[in-house]
Amino acid sequence: MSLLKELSKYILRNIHWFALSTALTAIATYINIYIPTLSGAAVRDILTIGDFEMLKGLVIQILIFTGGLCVISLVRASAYGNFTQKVVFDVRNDVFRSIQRQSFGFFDKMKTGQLMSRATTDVERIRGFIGFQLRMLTDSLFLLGGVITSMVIMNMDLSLLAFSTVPVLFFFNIWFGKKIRPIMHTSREYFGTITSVLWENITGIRVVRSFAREDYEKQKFQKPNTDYFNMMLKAVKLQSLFQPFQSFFFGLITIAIFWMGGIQIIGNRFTIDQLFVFSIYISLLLRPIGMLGMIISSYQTMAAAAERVFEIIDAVPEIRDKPNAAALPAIKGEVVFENVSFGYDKDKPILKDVNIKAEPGETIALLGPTGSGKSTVIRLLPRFYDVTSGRILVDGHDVRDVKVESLRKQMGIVSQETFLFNMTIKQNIAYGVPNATMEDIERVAKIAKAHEFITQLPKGYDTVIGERGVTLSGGQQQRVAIARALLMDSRILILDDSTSSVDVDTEYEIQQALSALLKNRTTFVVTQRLSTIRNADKIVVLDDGRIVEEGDHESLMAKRGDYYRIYETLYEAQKEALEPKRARANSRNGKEAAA
Amino acid sequence: MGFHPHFHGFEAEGSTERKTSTNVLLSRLLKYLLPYRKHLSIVVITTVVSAITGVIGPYLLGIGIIGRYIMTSDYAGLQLMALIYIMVLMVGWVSDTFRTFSIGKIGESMLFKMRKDLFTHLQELSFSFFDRADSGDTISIVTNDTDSIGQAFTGGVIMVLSDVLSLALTLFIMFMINVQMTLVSMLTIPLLIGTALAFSSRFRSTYRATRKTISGVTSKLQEGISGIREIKSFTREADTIRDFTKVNQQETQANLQANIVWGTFFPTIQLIQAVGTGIVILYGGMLALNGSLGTLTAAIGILITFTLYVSRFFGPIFDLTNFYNVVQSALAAAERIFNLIDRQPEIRDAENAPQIPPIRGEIEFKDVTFAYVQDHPVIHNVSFRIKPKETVALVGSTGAGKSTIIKLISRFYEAKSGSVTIDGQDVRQITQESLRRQMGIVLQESFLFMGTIMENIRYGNLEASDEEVMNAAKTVGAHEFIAKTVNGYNTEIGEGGAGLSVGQKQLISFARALLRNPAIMVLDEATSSIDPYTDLLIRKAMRILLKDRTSIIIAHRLSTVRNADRIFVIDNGRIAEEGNHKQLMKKNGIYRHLYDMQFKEPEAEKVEATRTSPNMPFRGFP
Repeated sequence: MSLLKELSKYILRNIHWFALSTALTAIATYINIYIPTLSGAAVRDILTIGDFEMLKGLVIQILIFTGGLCVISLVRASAYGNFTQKVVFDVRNDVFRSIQRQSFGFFDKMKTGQLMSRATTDVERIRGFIGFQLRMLTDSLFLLGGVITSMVIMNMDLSLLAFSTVPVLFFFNIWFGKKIRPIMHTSREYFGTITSVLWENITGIRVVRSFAREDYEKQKFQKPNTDYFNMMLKAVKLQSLFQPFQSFFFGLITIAIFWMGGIQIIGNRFTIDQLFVFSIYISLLLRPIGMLGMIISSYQTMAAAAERVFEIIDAVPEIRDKPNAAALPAIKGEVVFENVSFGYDKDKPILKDVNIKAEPGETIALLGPTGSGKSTVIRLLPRFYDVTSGRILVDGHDVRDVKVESLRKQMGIVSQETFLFNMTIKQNIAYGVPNATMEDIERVAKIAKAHEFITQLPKGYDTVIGERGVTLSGGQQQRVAIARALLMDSRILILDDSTSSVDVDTEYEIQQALSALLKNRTTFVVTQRLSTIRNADKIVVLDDGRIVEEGDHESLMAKRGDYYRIYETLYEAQKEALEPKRARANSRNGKEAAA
Repeated sequence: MGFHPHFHGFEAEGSTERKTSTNVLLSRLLKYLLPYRKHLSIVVITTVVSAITGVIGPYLLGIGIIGRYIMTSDYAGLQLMALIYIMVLMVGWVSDTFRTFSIGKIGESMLFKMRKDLFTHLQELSFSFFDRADSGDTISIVTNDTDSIGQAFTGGVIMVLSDVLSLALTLFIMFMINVQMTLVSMLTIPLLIGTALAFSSRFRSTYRATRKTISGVTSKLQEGISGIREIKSFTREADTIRDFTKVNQQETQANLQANIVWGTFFPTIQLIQAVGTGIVILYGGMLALNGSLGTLTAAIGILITFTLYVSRFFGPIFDLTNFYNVVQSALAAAERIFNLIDRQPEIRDAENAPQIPPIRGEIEFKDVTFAYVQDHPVIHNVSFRIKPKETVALVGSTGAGKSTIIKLISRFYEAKSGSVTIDGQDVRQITQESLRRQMGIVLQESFLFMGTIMENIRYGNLEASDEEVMNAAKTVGAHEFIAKTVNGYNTEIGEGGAGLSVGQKQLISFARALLRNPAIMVLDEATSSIDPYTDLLIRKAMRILLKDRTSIIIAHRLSTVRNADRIFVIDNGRIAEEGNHKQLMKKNGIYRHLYDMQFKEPEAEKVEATRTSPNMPFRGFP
């Protein structure tokens, strides 16, 4: 959809405010053009008639009309403000809604930083344009229409003189806008670099000092600092050329009008009071012309920003419910992967023809080197992505045939990186079950071995965690996430535990919590914990997207194949301590034997 | 700098409460302006000139042109006046151009120097500063606070001086023309001042409200994006949208309020000015009609001049009321800046401190006690001697004092009592640079800088050749994965090391430390999660890193300590146990307890049971 069409959708939604504002602008413009004539009449009165009463009357009229103008301006400001803010409100809401609708694939491509920048900075540009520049545009158009008409009626020659200068002013403003914008943009970037280098320096100060690199860092800072300085100097130069000339030019036009007007007055073709009124009209004319130039050059920036915003709003989610999808009934927990192939990138398949069957209540452990596809398997089950070929069945239902919400509501998910929200611990644990009772929450917290440390916090379960609250350690966060999943009490559990904490104190707790979590539900787990792997009902070994081995711990160890090797590596990584005595003994024996 | 609307004071961030006196701050700020004396004099001259030319204009137009040519029907006179006006305009133009440029140049140069000075000074400050200071605040001081001062200078001080001058000149000329009319014209001034002041505080509060609400919107947005996977996993999209709508609504409200304040402000000013003009016309008209202003045409000239002058009252008055806010925030900013600049580094080289000769690597602590916060010592009376090339592991629970010991060896902190010596030399007597040059320090969080992998490794030794860098990488086992990346050693690392896994970052920081080839290696073992394959590489690399030099590791894996020559068990700031692994296990004390904690019995037994052969050769990774 074209940009204007999109924008007008939002404008039309709030058109009544805009219409009111425009109507008031029309009236205000009329008054703005009328008042100078009163002043002119006052001058004429003094010069020719000499009636003080009339003068008083005129001044009172001026004040009344100005008062009216003020009231109208106030109402208009409010109306237009409503218009702008409601448009921004709608746009932001739509952006957020759209983000919530999108599937994982969207977030793989668009990083948080980018999305944030579009949802904030770019939306602000739209607000700035609508709130200020669009208003100036409509004001200017009305004003120009009115003023030009009045001027022409009053004095054709002077009007022509004035209008001949308009193009100069107009294009001068456009020129300036075009020149200053890239400079301001680049200077903002340089300023961003200054901040980055500074941030890095402060965050990495220990490394800097450890390596005694203070001088090097100073040089690093010198460059962006100098770049920024030079760029700002360019801006200063440009401005020193712009503003003074603009004032000069305004003055030039004014004097030209007075000069030529004066000649006409001496020649009795014009009067002083008329000149006075005309000069007021000139000042009313010149400012909008300048504005228009600015508006046009800022339109492009706004348009670019708006485009990025609408890209988000218009993004179509990859994963959508089928038109007549039914809700998934309460499941027992049987999961079947049937000839599943998938790639995040259509041309680069990660999973190739994978077949897995899990009976209700079974624990399936997925193993394999990095890139083998084990994490991918568990992302397909809740339908965060759709398979390229094959299908995934839950209790016999193809996951694509049922409502996504009903599918995910019956799954508990603990991801690799725990994300907790900026709310109370209570709210975080109850995230999947918002109306859970405190008893239930405490119950699962105890099982997850989190209750103890939670009760030791200042506000216990009501402690706010996150940015403006308390920061929990990695192990603590993990246990809260486990409690969260436990509360769901779902028939299917997905556990991505591929990063194991080496924090001695909590390792044991977490192991306990996990084994409780895995009981009585179908679990797909990606993990390095030997205890979890050994106790799994089925171990699936993946390599390069295919299943290379399958079975339980004993049978696979006996095979001496891929699983055996992986197990050994994990064992070594975690159990080296038990071996050195023997390993050293072996190497000594080996050496002696060799010698 | 650059385009700024006049309204700045209430954009001030942060607190404006100050402890330092205004005079002290001003005099220090002025010192920063001293180098630009020449430009400053240009500014002063051009400001005066611009003020004068600005004030002459209405006089020429009203009294000169209108008054004159009507009186005399004088084409030549009119022409002359017009030409004079144009000349005045041109003088003003030139003057303004130089003025704008000079002000901008002074401002930017001053900020450039301030930022540079602040950064340089930060490089000298000690760890104690960075431990306590909020990095966000520090960054804000160098960027935002300096900017505040810049804005105050250009947008504030100079503008106000120019305004005051203009206003004074205007009133002066008005008085010269007609005293009574001037007095009458000045009636609106108190009204304007009052209005500006009244609205000033309203502006500030609505501005603060909008800042608060927009920040609410931003955090909800952030959460809605970063937590999207959780939101979708727990199907909480609808609730999240609802919460967002609420903060969005609040933000809209705050802005509507602000709109109304502005919407009331301008019309009010307009009204006051209309009243002012009305008074001028009425009173002036009266005077004109009873002949006090000379001929009618001359009177009209005066009237027009006066209406033009009166319409110019408001600008300067508004700037003046704003000025107060601008200055307050600038002074607060200045105070923060000077506080930072004045802060002395706690650790300083003694005068004429010698460099330490090439280190053999003997480290000795003699009865060292240290506290970060007074009266809360972290280590008590710690004494030990580490022989050259010995590998010592420090173990103990969090907060026991392990990393403190390391920091004292590197002299990032200084012991209050006792001494730390290296090769018999007290670390406080030698230069910091000569000491750290011979030390390699690997911290828990492997911090990498923006730049290429090559540059990051070379950070360990800026003189190293590309070959030496690659050799270091090969030795620690990083070369394989580096070679597989898009641009190999020229691959750019993002902010904070983005683009690499935790394990890969660790390996690179090992290569960096290895390249340094230090006599003393200090290592704080990472606890964060690494996949088992890279983990093995790291363990291999660690063994290489620690060879042939004095090494001290803060170990988190008991598997690491097994290979140490000696182990110090730190408990509550003291060395509780000391010895090698065998000895400590026999003791059945803290060490034994820590060791057993990691491998609970059933686990160990089960694992043992599944091993098919006890003498399994080491496999490496598949």
